[in-house]
Amino acid sequence: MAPRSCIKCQSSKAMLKRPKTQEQVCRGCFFTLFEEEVHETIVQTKLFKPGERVAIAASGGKDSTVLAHIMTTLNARYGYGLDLFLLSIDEGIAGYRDDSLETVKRNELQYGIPLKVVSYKDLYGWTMDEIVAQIGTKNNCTFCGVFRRQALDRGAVLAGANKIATGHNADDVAETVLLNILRGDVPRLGRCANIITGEDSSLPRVKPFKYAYEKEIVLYAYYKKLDYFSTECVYAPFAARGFAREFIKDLEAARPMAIIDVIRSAEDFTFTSASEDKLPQPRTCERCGYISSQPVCKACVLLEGLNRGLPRLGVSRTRGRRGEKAGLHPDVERVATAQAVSAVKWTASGAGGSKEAQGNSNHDTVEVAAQLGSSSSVAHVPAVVVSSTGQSEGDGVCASAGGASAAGLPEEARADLGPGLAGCSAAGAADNDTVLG
Amino acid sequence: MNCGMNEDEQELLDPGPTAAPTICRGGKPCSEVTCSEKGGGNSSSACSSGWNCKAPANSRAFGDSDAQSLACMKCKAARAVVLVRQREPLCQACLEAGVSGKVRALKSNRLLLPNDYAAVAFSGGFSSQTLLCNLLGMRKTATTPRKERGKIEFSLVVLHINEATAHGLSVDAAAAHGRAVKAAAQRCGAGGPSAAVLVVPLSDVFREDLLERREDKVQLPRNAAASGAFQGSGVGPYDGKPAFGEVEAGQRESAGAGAAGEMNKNDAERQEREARLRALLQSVPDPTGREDLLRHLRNRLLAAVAAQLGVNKVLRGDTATVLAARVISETAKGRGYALPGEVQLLDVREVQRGQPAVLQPMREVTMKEAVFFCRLRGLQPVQLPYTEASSRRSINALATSFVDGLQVNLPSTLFTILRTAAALNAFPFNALEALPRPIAPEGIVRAVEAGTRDGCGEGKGDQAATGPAFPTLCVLCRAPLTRREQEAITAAAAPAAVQSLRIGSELRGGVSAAAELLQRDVELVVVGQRNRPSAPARAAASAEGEQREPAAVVSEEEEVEERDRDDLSAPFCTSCRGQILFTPEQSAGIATARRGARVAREQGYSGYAVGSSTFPLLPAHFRL
Repeated sequence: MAPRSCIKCQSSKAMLKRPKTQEQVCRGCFFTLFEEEVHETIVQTKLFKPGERVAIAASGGKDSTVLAHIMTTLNARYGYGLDLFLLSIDEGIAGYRDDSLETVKRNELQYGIPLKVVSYKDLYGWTMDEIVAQIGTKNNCTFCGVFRRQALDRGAVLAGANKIATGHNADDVAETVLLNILRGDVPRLGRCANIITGEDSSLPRVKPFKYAYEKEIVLYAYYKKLDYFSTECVYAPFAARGFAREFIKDLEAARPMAIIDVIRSAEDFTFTSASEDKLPQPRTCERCGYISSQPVCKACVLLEGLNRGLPRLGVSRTRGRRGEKAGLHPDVERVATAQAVSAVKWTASGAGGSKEAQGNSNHDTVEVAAQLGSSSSVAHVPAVVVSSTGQSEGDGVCASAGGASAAGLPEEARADLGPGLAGCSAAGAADNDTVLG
Repeated sequence: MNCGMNEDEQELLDPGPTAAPTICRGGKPCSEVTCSEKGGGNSSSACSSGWNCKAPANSRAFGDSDAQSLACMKCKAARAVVLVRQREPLCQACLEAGVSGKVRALKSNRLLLPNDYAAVAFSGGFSSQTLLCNLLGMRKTATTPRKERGKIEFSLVVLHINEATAHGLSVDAAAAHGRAVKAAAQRCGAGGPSAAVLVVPLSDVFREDLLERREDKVQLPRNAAASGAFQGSGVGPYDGKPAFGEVEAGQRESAGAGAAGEMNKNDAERQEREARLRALLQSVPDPTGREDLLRHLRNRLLAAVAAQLGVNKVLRGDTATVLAARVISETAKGRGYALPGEVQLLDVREVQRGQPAVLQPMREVTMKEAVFFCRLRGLQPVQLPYTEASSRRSINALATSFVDGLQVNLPSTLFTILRTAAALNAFPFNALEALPRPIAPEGIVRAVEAGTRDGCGEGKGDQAATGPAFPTLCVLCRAPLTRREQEAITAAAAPAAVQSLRIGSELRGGVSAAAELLQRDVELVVVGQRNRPSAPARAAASAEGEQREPAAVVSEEEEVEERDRDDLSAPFCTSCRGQILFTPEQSAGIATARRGARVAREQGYSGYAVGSSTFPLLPAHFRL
């Protein structure tokens, strides 16, 4: 077969077939197209305002690495006027997160934007390894997902961000749409395809990659030779969520535009007023003050379960009287308030970098966290980086189940792309921060 | 086809330990003959007689003693023979009562009224057989004893659209398929003058006479008869439906119908239509798009034939299983906006055009129930071979197997999906109130009689005129257009400055001379080759719904801009446009990219490209 020339510039040889549109383009045109599409998305949906401080949720995986690269590139090229920084979360998973954090630290240097890291140990007093040691490898992703979502917000508040940008790509969004249909979760179905979530809150989350295909992100990272970390979470093999992702990959193979179509469908859904009424009103957790749909937020419930040695609390289906979460100890609230006071103290001392992780919930309130941010100067709080990108509407299933993602590059795509890609997709296969929360 | 052809027998029969009660008492093997022939009974003590076992024949092997038998959990008396849901063993009578109860929701919702004329869309699969059996059970006929209550006096016709040739079968095989379907319907109890069975080849969708909007209802019998409308028999005159007798008289296959020359001409025409259908389907490269196109054609033909017969309600056998899979597949096709209209009990979107309302009475019944229902009555499905060999490339097939796979592990999946879909806003044409009803509050019966005697169209027409405003529909799939799509269409049509273009149902008026020129294929080609139609003419043509794509004739690069505008001003939904009519071509070149970008800009959508040759092949009567 004669080599085709790129359909964009008509001069150089086409290097790849874009997974999204099947257009055959050269490398340079692919970069341009990809960047311009993200730019278009950002401009058309008015994602950012000049002068905003934007936290890029960075796990070190392919999505967030490409996001960091694209955001810095576009910010410079088009003068968004954004104050960018990387925010990572350290879940405390040995053999996985420590390595990926190294990647993020290198990114910090490469892109010249600062990095903040927040750790579960600091926020909750538990590392994921400790949690898994207690509860086993089942349901551990529930903890990780719920905690990460909150940790990301807390870390961003600490660092004084106005917005969090996550690396959720089109595949992730489509997958979440499907999962919410399958679960009958109408409220989440309504908002999971929004490009901005929590618009009214002080800390909206945005998904600049909402229309970007995972495969294209992998290709971009590969051809740009970006430095990203591609090891699957050590606990991921035990995670669920794979079936929907597999279906999405099947759809993509059958018709590449299907992913965008799923997102478009979700955007077009309108809900009956009856189901709108049933939406739980956002409220604040009575223990930690974090936004929650229940009297006590999920993170507090899970944490109490951990601290009281009842790891099933909040995981298995329970419903108590008066709509309370069953099994919550009535006295815990007081304890928690007392803890909050001590947490403030801890803040002061914690500024020095030594946080004694009290056994019980030193799970402080947002206010406390905010104080922490202001008093003990951001610079000092060793940025907790939330390493992976939880999503605010997150389902808390699992952060790393997305691992299989890029593995879906079909054979023909690889063939089209030449030998180079095989390695790339294999690498991408392991990456796992794609999980939509 | 939603007749369960993807269902796996083993899976459905649940041959677990709980299926044990399917054996006859005492472990005597019941003969298969007994099982299938006596299957029609409704005695609640079905299995206790030992030999008169209603169990599926192939489940004999699973039980060997009475100890394993279970009582039906509903009536607690008869022995259970099926396990439709986990831990819910049922006897045949209770299974049938459950199914028919769901179908009878038609009556409690007053969707099926005395003197209605209903058509059953009969594919020959499990669900349509179940539907037909239940409907026949609901019907009051002359022989129904007076004391049997709750029955309705409505007339019924069984319609089968024979699409065997579209699945690659030969003409002979297609005819055999048609006969098999008819036999299946007769096994369900249809046939005879009161429930005629009609088999219509799908290629009839190209018959202008058949699909023309019925301007004058008086014309109907003559038209239908003169054109030799339906290939079918057993259509007897039914009181109030004079059309039937003549339809039968005109049928092609009856011995004395017409001269030989007439028949030859008919045959030739028919072959031409078949060829056109093949060409149309082949012009769609995408398997999913092809399946969808087939489905749209089938539904359109069904509605048109029903309207010609004077039917005012079409009953479809889509089960909960099928609808749940459709929720997923339509989502994956970007049809999220139109989706809620697909899964409702009632759909009157075509009533304004003089076509019947569509009811989906099986939407609460699972495929599993339907399969058991048929099995226990000894009804065998008639199915076409599934032709999309590469089912991995069909989104419909993928969605079906996805839902089925989930359903195995989590039996609530189906209904969770449907509940999600139910939370979506349906359309005005789905509201139960939208169904045209007799106007006079008193003397309902009289009014209904008058209405149906006249045929379906009229009473409705004036009702619909005063009814709620229906959304604008896609020309091909009849999906409501989103506002974004409507704006894009209007915007694309505007530069052409066509006065007559009014997106909406009142489009009829302005037909320019140029548009009239384009009415027939041949003329279109001629016009295209000699002198290209001017831009206004083209826009007028698409506005008229002729669905000729001038760009298919005028394919030069210089015309790209023109093409963009013309394509986009045709009133199609984005999904039909992108997935059926204009599937991307591999080497489309720059025009592709420009067009893709343009669509993206105007419709918030990107990626689909260039026209294929599908456009000019569509039946001409797909118009607003």
